[in-house]
Amino acid sequence: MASILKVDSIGKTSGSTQDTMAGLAKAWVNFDGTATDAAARDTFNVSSMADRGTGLATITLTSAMSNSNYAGTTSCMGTNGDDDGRNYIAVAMPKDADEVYVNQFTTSGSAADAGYVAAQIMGDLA
Amino acid sequence: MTSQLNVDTIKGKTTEGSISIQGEGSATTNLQQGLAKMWGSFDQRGDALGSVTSGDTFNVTSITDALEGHLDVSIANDMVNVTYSINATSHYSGTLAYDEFSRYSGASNMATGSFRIASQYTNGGEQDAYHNGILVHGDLA
Repeated sequence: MASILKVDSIGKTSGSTQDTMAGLAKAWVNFDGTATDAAARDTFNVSSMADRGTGLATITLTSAMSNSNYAGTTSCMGTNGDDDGRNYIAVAMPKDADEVYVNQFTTSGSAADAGYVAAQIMGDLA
Repeated sequence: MTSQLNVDTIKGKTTEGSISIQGEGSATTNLQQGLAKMWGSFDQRGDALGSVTSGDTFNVTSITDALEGHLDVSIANDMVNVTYSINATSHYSGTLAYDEFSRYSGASNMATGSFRIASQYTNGGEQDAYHNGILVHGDLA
């Protein structure tokens, strides 16, 4: 039988406490923006990826967020694994509670598929 | 009464490395997957902490000045594979006079025990940055 533990806080025996749930990433992904359908290499709480065009990817979450006000952070490179690769820019924007738009650009502002894109989602689950 | 749990280690009962945890609403999430496995602040340029100096870190062994604008980061407890997710940010200067000098940062050369971050400006040229912030999610070995 599964065991369930219910507590109000988890913390050290001294010092300040923090909200454990608020500090957990609710989703993260490492994907290839150059691949068909923006292929994910590794994910958490991601059900599928989609390619909406050059530099445009969509992440669909398995467990939806409670609203569309969550925070997305990103980092990306033009090529994956290149020790002298060029940085690109990416933004992770809430589209819906279960969809995140990840748009990629070169540093000159042109839409472009990036070889390495990392994104993390912080916020409240539904 | 508020309940408080004081323990040194928490493991899953069915699977030690997987604990389901109630989210803010009715959905559940996974404790291990939501935890950042590594984070750190590094000064390569020497504007704030000193050249090639770490600030606060978690699960970082050391950093190495690899090239102009490039830092190699060594991981203390290795990741299980090379497909983890790294968020990297950087800024050229820690002084207010140069507060518009944001830089672009990304990760490469990902291995289970290390990776490289590169700080660049708009034309792709590498340049040492005073602040490099990294945040890593993925699976520990």
